[in-house]
Amino acid sequence: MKKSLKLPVLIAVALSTALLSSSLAVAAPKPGEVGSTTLRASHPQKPTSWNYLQDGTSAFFVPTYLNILESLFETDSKGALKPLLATKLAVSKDGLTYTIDLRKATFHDGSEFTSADVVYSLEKNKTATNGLLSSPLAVTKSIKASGPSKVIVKLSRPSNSFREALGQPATMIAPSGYFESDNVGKKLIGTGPFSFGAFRQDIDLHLNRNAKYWGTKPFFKKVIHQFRDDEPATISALKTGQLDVVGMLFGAGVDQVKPFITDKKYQTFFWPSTSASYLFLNPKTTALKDIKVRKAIAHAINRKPIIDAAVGGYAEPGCLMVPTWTSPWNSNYCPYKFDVAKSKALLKDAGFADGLELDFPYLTLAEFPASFEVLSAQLAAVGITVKGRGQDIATWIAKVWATPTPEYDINHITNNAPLSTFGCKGTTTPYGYEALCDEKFESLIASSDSIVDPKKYVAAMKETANYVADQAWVIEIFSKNEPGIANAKLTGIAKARTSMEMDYRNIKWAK
Amino acid sequence: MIRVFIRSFTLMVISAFTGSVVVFVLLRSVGGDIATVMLGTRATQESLELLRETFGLNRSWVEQYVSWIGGVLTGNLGEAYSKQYVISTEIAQRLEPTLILTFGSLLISIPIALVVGLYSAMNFKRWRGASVDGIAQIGLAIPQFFLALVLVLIFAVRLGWLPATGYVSIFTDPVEALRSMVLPITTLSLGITAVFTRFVRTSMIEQMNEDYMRTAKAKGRTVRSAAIIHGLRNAAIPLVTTGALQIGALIAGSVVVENVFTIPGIGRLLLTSAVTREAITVQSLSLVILIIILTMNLFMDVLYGILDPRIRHKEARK
Amino acid sequence: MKKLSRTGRKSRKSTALKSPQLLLGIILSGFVLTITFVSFFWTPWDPIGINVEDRLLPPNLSHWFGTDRLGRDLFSQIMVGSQNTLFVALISTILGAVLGTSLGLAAAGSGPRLGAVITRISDIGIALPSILIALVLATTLGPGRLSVIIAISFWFVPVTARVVVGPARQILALDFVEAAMTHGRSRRYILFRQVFPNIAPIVIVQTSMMFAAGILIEASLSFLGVGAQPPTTSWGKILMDSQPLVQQAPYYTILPGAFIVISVLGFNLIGDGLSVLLDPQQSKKGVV
Repeated sequence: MKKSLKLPVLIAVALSTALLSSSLAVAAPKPGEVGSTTLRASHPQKPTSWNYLQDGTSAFFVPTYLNILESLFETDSKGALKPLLATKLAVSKDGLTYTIDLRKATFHDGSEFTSADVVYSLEKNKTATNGLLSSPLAVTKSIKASGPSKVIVKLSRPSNSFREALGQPATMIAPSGYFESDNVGKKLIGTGPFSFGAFRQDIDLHLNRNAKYWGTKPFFKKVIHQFRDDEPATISALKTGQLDVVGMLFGAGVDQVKPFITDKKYQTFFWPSTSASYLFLNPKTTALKDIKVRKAIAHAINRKPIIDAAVGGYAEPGCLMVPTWTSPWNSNYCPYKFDVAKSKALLKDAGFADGLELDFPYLTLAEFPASFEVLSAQLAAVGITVKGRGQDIATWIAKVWATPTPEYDINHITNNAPLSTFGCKGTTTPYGYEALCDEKFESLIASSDSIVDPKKYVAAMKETANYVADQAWVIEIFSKNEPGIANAKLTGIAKARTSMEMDYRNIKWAK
Repeated sequence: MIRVFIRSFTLMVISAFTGSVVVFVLLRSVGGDIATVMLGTRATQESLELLRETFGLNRSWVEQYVSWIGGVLTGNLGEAYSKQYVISTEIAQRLEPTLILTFGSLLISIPIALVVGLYSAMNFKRWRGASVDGIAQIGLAIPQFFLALVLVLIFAVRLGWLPATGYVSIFTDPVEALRSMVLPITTLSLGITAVFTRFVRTSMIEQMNEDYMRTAKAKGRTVRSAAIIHGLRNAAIPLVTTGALQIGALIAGSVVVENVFTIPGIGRLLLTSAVTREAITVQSLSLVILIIILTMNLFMDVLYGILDPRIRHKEARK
Repeated sequence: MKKLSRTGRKSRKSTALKSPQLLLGIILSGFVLTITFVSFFWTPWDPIGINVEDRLLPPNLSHWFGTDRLGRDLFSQIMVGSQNTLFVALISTILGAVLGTSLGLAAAGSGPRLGAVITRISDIGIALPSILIALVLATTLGPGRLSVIIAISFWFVPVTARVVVGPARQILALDFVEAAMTHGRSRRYILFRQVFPNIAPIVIVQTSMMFAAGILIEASLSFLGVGAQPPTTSWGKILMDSQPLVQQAPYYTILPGAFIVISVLGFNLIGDGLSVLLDPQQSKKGVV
């Protein structure tokens, strides 16, 4: 009896130890499992270049800003400056002298971060072909180091846009000499919590945790940032567990977000974008020079159906060109509400009782094909026929946007252009665009940026924004809330403050 | 024979050169360039001009063409405008997935098409033959993007048997490579299987009526063996033609399939570089595709002569 | 030796009724053509009436096929869309077949030098990236049927020429053709009266496949901004719009897809039936 008992007992013991040891010697969790130190994220756009002095597309900044490259300050969710590479900011009473204290930090190449790097980088950014970096820095008169950890910037005039830009990519810092090195366009070097790792054209970019980061080190050792422009395929990959985070869907994917909102395996977020989505009318088109026609167009627009059809309903309707959702000068002001009868009457008044034909080349990506269809139906309802032509982005930029002889009458775009660009002195937004080329607008723009007193600044900006809406050259439709989806077990996904970032710094697995 | 080969080869080089000029001109007739793409909505007149000068885009067309073709001849295409990759290395790396995808599809389609086409031809005018043919025709009418989506929904999302996207090289992990290629190859091969089936069927029906076929039958052989032995050889001729021609269709189809399954092949590179106006990459890639197609078609012409001795004799007599 | 029809004009005893394929083909294409014809006068709903609140309604009694992403009646959209689709697919298929076959016959019939030049030019045409041609046409000609037809023919003509050239050479090498040549028949007579009837089945298969491909290529072109521009529509455009919604609204893709399948099948079956008529030997003893 005893003997016969022994064997089964032995087997049982052996088995249980084997089981126990195998469960104790836990294999590292695979990507997608709780505890894994690799994060797999996806964004629909691929950067066209790694040289941020040249590349003005937001796709560049999405994986790199704040993760790899740090600016002097960052902008918090309320729009205020928060220290990043800078620890303290002191602005003189006249608003002309900025004294910036810097922290100790190390670049990914091992060199120390000092005031010399700040002077170097700001001077470089100021000369960038990319207006996002150069335009706010244009007011700087001198940028000087004052010891290794202090920089003094002097402006030619007070500038609110410069102050705001301190917390934006315009003050991203690269090590001295970077733009003269072989790394330009190939490898980014910054001070961020992640360093620039392997890059596969069209496929992905690896971000590696920076062991020498000055601040709290991120949880994930590696972030694989994938470029996937086929949004339905991206959603499939998310469902099969090939992705952990999907950010900023803007095309075919927006209509697929709804089921995820109620699915407990996922969390959804709707990042308010800093961009405005608006119609702009060609100032060279004779018919449109009559404000009655422009008002008629503005009255013909019913925002809700456009939002539902084009961006899955994830947007806030609005009539003010206020690019920043936190802008204190935002309001419900809407001079030309949706009113078909009024629109028709205005057209008749302007001499277009029999209708009017307008050329409308639209972008064949993101929300634009759908918004075009709804817009053309809404305009047709008041007697305006629009002739549509689909154009890919490069053609559109060349024929509509960045040309002194643009070929369009009416158009739709989503971007974060400052209001100043719609006047005579505007540098970036459709160049040659001189719609708001009048004294009142110019003086509003010129004065508002230099106002030092915050309250007066807000009041001036409000007046400008309302004036833009009144003129109806540019007609705001909505500001998007760009949807993203992530594994429900992740926490710390930061609310993006611009449509140009996917902040990987604080993401980790929930306890 | 050697003279014929040299003649064909010279002609091929001239064709490749002509094709490269056509692509070059087409590419410059498209609106926009890499400068407009990079600067996007932040472009200004000055910044555009500055970038164009940096990239040498304000040179004359002749200058640009000569500098590119010089690069082709010396094997040094340089870097993309974006500086993100070295063009020749990138193209070489991208060939692997696309070749696996296209030849994998051919390898699967041709045997299936032979069997199905033969069956449908032999049962021509019977319901079973007609229904097999009908199914093959439905294969022609299903768009690839739709098929890809449905396959992913069923086999990746619902059943979880296969990965939804991604590419694994056969040299790093053969098993995973096989798994990752099942859905893309299925998607790509459905259309061409239908095309091949139709051609096999048509030419087999023709062959069925030939004298030798009837003689073979009269001699007491079974219809099937007669058909397979004698007919297939002749039926193979149009299959060879369409087979080589389908390489072009397969490369076009790989653009869609590579995009849906995020496979880093040349189709995807062609699409993204055309959209971002990476002119040198598009030109070089088009030249590679052109050479592949020219070679395949030349090969086809040679094979044609082998398969049908009558043409060979006649050409020899000329 | 091959026994071939020498003139292509033989007794045509087979009628549509005797060929079930032809009959079915006529019924299916007749159905599609009827719907197209009716759409010129009547549709159940306004095909361009956008009503976003009613978007993506599943098929029901008032909207038989449901509604699309902008709340338009899908059935009316499919009806109206057939006008564009069939026009573009038919014209480019005919262009491809006629020009391609002529080019292929010319290449086969001319001397080896000219023949080689024609085939290489066709090869270049086949190899040109279609996206480039589409983008150029979008820039230069703008959208519309003409651009679509040109873009599709750019691909169809050389492919057909290439498909035809081999078999045509094969026929030209045959004895009875050689005999005709020695009898002083003109080159054109030989090519069109003796070679063409014998390669007709291949041309017909090629034609039927081009028709299917034409519908699908139009779909991708409308995506690049070359094809049908709103408010006009086409099956290809409907299919493209529905693609991302295939999970929420499968009917939205499947129903226009079904119409594509029906018309492709219908026209192909007619092609099959015709090839039987053109090659009378098959009709005599098709069942082996």
